Formats: sequence, structure tokens, C-alpha cells
Amino acid sequence: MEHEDPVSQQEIAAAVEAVRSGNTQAYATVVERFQASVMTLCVSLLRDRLAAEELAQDVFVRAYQRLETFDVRRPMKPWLMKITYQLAHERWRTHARQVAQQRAAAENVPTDRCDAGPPNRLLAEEQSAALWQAVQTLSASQRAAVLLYYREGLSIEQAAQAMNITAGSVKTHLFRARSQIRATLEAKGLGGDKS
Amino acid sequence: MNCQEIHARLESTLLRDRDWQWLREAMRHAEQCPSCRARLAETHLLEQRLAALPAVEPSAAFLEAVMSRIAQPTPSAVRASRGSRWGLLQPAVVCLGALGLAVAYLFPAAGQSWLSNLWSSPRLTSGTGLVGYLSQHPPWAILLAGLATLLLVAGLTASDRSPEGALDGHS
Repeated sequence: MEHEDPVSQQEIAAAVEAVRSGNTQAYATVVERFQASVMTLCVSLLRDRLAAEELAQDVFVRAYQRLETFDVRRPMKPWLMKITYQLAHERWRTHARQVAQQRAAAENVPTDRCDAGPPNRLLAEEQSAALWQAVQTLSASQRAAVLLYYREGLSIEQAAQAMNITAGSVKTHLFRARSQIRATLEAKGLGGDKS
Repeated sequence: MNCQEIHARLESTLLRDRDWQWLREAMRHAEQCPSCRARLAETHLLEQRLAALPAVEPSAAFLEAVMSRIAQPTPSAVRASRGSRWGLLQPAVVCLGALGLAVAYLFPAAGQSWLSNLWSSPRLTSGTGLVGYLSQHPPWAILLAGLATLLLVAGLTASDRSPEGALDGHS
């Protein structure tokens, strides 16, 4: 789990103030600090590495454009996660019709797009890969809730704000996700007792 | 607290949020119950593994790509730079007006056009200086209007490529 420690938060606040003062290059500090978190959420939401990288770029560009609205006294990660989730939603809406049309056209054509991403190439350990794949079987909302709450260490309230839903809904997503992940891992013989 | 209660509660509990009182009671029960002990340990392990999901790193060119994109003008900056060109609207209208007057002089509608009447009015033709000279030499008026229009078009095109315009709002 990644935490935004006080020292890191001070560095980020200083970088944001520098950007606001005209030092555009200071924004690199923000990108370097959060690119992995943003990218991981993008890959999980889109399940397509190339599209995810484009989306992650869009997230940082949008964040830069809205930097004036960011409160430097607050942690930046929840703010970025919210932008990520919003942009992913916009992309889903934009491409929903195209995807439906493509799916109809490619019904008989095997595709590996849903397998793109970290499982085989980037995750070294088999169990981590299995866990990642189990997470990818969840619904988009459940995937987002799991990543925001567990991997990114956001609180229930922060995750709820990022996803624009209630805290109760986040918990419901998490409970169902955990149950489904457990079932998926057990079906593969990778349940908790054997881990 | 019995096994059924613990199993049911585990389904709706996030161990990361640490409800210590409930956990103490569950652990006390689990000391004598292998089934609940295993279930608690399995839930704890699953939460730990989810928290430790590896990050997906973007490509090596990611940072450079983002920094390159933010160095380009935002749509609002482009609109702002275009807005400054509206300052050229007035000379454009004057030039086009002059061109229109010249065309009206050369091609009057059988001598009935009010524009040709205006052109030949004593007030205009008796003028001195450049206006008087141009009113008496229409070809020069046409040439001047055309030249001014060309300069205006060239100026508009150049401001589109201006590096200052590209950096608006990013300095």
C-alpha cells in the first residue's frame, strides 16, 4: 500500500506552488510521484495498456489545467484518483457505442486486448498475477474501489469522493469484490490457505 | 460470539479499518476454533495482498510526453491569443470598405448607384491631400486597398504561428 507521507506531501505542495509561480518544469515532480498510481488505476479500468497510458497522460494534463483548484493542504493522490476515474468514465461514454459496434463485428475474432496489461509481462510472481487477474474479473466499480482503498490506501470517504458515490456503496463494492476474488482464487487452487 | 456470527461479520468487515473491540472478541473465539482462525487469517492475508498489488509503471517516455503536452497551448490559451487578433478587425473593415467603394466606382449599376454618387460628390472630390488625390485617381485607390488587405491577411497568418501565442498562459 502506498501512503502519502507528510514529507512527500510537503514536496508536492512546494512543486505545485512552483508551477503556479511559472516554473512549469516543477510539474515533473508531481508526475513522477504519482504516475504509477494513476497508470495502475488506468490499466485496471480500461484493461488495455496503450489506452491506459493515453488516459494517464490525459489525467496529468487535466490536473495541470486545474492545478489552481487544488488545495495544497490536502493530499494530492485522492484528487488525482478522482480525475482519473472521471476521465475513464468520459472515455467509456465516448466509446460505448464504438465498442458495441466492434463487439458485434468481431464476435468471431479472438482478441487479447483484455489480457493486455501487467499480468503476464509485468507481474513477476504467479500469485500476484493470479490476484491481478482475479481483480480484473470484477466490475469496473469494484475494480476501482479495490485499487483505491487497498492499493492506494485511500479512506472509504476519499474513495467515495473519487468515485462520486456514497461511502456505503464503496463498502458494498469492496465486500462483493473480496468475496468474488476469494472465489476466483479458490477455483484456481490459489486460495488464502495455500498462499 | 459463535462461528456463524464471525463468518457473517467477516463478510462485511474491512480489517484495515480495525474495529479493535470486535477483533479482540473474534480472536478470543478463534484461539479455540481452527475454522474461524483460518478464516480470519485468510481474510487478513487477502487484504494484505490486495494492498500489495504491484504498480503498473508507464513507459519510459511517459514523463516527457506529459511535459511536452503541458508546454503546448491549452484550448483556452489558443482562444485568448486569437482574441487579441480582433484588434485588427477595425483596419480590416476600413480596407474592405475602401475596396468596396473602389469596386462600386468601377462597376456602377448604370450610373444609378448611390455609391458612385457618393464617390463623385463635391465634398469628396474637392478634398485635399491623400483622400482628394485618391478620389481623382481611382486605380491608385484600388491598388492601395488591395495592398492593405494583403498585409492584413499576412499579419493574421503570422500571428497563428507566433511562438508567443503558443506560450500564452504557460509562462
